Amino acid sequence: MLNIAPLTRRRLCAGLFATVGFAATVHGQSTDDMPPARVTSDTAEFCAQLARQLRAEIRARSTPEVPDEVRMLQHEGRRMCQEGHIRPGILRIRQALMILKQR
Amino acid sequence: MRILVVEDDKDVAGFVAKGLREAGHVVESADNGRDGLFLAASENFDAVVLDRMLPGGIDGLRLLETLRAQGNQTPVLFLSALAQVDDRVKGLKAGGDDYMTKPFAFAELLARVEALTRRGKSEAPVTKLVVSDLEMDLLSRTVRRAGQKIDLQPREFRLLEYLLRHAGQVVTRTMLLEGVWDYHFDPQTNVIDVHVSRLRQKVDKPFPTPLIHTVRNAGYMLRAD
Amino acid sequence: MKPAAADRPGAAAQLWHRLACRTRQDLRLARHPGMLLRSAGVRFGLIYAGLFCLSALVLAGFLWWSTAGLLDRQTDAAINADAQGLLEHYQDGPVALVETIQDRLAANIDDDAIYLLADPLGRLIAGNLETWPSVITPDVEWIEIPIDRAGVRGLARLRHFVLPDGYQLLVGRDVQARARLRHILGDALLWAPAIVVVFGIVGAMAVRSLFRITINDVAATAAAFSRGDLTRRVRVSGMGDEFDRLAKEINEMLDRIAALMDGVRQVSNAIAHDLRTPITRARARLEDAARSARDEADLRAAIDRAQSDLDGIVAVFQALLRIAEIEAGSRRSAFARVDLGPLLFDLVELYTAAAEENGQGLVHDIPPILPAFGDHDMLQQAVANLLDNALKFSPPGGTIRLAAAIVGQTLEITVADQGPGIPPADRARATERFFRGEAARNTPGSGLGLALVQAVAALHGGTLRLDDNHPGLAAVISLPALTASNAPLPPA
Repeated sequence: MLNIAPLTRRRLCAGLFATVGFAATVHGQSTDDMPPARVTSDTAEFCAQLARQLRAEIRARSTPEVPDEVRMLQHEGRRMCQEGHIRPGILRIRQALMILKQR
Repeated sequence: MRILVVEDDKDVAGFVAKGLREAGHVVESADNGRDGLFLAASENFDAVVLDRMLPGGIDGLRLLETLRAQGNQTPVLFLSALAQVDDRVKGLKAGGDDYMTKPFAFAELLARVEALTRRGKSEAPVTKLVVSDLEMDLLSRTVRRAGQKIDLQPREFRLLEYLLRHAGQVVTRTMLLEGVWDYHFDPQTNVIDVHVSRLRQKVDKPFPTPLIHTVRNAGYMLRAD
Repeated sequence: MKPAAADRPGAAAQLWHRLACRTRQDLRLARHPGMLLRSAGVRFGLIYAGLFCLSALVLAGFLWWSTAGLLDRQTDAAINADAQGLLEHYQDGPVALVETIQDRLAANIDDDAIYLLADPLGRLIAGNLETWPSVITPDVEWIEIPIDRAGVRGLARLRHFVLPDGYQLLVGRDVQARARLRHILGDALLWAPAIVVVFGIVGAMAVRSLFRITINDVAATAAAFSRGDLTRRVRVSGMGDEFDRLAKEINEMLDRIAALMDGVRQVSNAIAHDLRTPITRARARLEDAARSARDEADLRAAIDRAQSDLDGIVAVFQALLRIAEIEAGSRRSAFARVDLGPLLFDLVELYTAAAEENGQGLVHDIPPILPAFGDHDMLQQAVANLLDNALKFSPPGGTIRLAAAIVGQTLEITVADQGPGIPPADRARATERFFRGEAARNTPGSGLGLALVQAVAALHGGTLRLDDNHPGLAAVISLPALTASNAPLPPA
């Protein structure tokens, strides 16, 4: 009962090993011998640049048109960047810019 | 009658041949299949008593099949130690007319062989059976003796018919059971005897001469004395 | 065998010991993998493990394609769309492109866009990468490079464009999330086969021991049975699975063999005992006649008696053979539809005359049509045997009754007499071959009649029941009735 022909047996084993090997290769394929390139949009300078852009946008509009949300995001964003949470801060400033752009 | 006996056991063959001769028949015998086939095919016999198991390459069944294939319609009675129903059926299908198992009572063998020859002879269908002053009309299903009508139950009629068809021959109880009741085994009680005696009450007793006789150790016979 | 609850520590130790022995045995086998493969249980387990592994891999592949693959495709689509927009702006000049890049960076809520624009001299004029990655040469179109995001290492997928006038543009996305997912899946893919193989081996061993237990049990039972222990049977676990069915069939076969052998033994005993008597008697009579016969008449009488003695013995042999033939069941193939009505009527007619001669009455209660499935001659002989007995044992003036009826799914044929009957104690044994009760000891007969009736009833799938007729015996043959639903096909 259930006699696997030797040829089929060999084929099954080969398939198994090939799949495992491929997985291992793909797994190990990573270019980690390179030095990483720094992303400049994660820095405090960029945050300040965006904050300046935001201030300019706000000044370009008249006061009643600027929603409280924007001011809140601006305030939070600036404070977070100052405290060192760069990426969340940049996110809030971007959000504020987005809201303004939609008006 | 000329009877051929094909049987390899010397004692049984001798016994049968002697008995048949004493009954007034002419007997030829063979002790193997080849000789038996040769004799049966080349000479004219009224009946053949054939053993199933024969030496010489041709056994009883083959012999009979060959005979029938040649168009030979001689009545054949099988005599065999093989008693199972299948064997009986095989024998009859091969063309045999009757089948008896060993050991057998000679009287039975004689009765059946003689019945065979009678069977072979009648070609035209009969409408009346007559023995002495006993008349049986098969069309109207009536029986008369000496002109007097006899009232018979259906089974009694069939019993009398069987005896009439075998008039002058011995009819054994087994033959009656098979022929009239389609019953293939030996009952322990004497059921047949009672039926025959009742028939006698109706057919023989009111009349001067008896027609139904008891044959000791064998059975019955209907004949005019 | 479950160990008693009382000695649990001992039982546990026993269990461990057995497990250890089994494992040692298996390890020894593992040293010879060829031998291991000879076990059907192991092969089964390995095939199962192999298939499981294969399906796990297929599933993993599909999973990969639909998750990491999807992310890949989405990322690439986003990069391409982004790039297309930028290239259109480039047509208005590099300054327009610079502005667009800055706008996009300011609006990048998802914080995942990477841009880099370099002039023909290699100076970076827009984008959010600090340096031009050295690996990106003019022939490179797509590439993934490690990036540094606020000190955290990440991965970006970039598309490289060489623009007319020598400008070079990089458009890409942060794909760190995808990289992490790929890592997790890759780990799983490597671990899964290992786990599956382990489970497979455990499963194979479990299946192998299950097979071994059952097969060993069957083999041991068969061996013991052949050696003569006719009471051995295969163990049935009660789960109702295929193994149980096999065990039940084998047990039924063993029951049948035991019954047949019992029958043979009975017959041998009977032949040894009950047939010697008439043979001895016949011989004695002949010897006596040889010694003391005075004239031919005496000799003839002695010969006649010897003839009938021998006939009687032959009849017993025939009956025995017939019963054996019926019990072996070989005649079942000749079964056909039989109408018992005419059969029973004929028997009544046959026996009425004899009954009247004995001063007995024979009454009948038979429906005109009584379909059954079986052998006409056998049933005829069985009922005739019962009628024979009834006639033999009924007193003059007694009534014998032959009745037949269909009761539910059963066809019942009853032969009742008013004779001495059979005492309850003897009823169970009455159908044994050659059994003769006390009351019957002096009547003629071989004691085989009821045995034959029983055999015929059994062959037809029915039973013979012996009841009290108050007074007398009522013998009842029960057969399965032939209804439209259970009508069997005629034998081929």
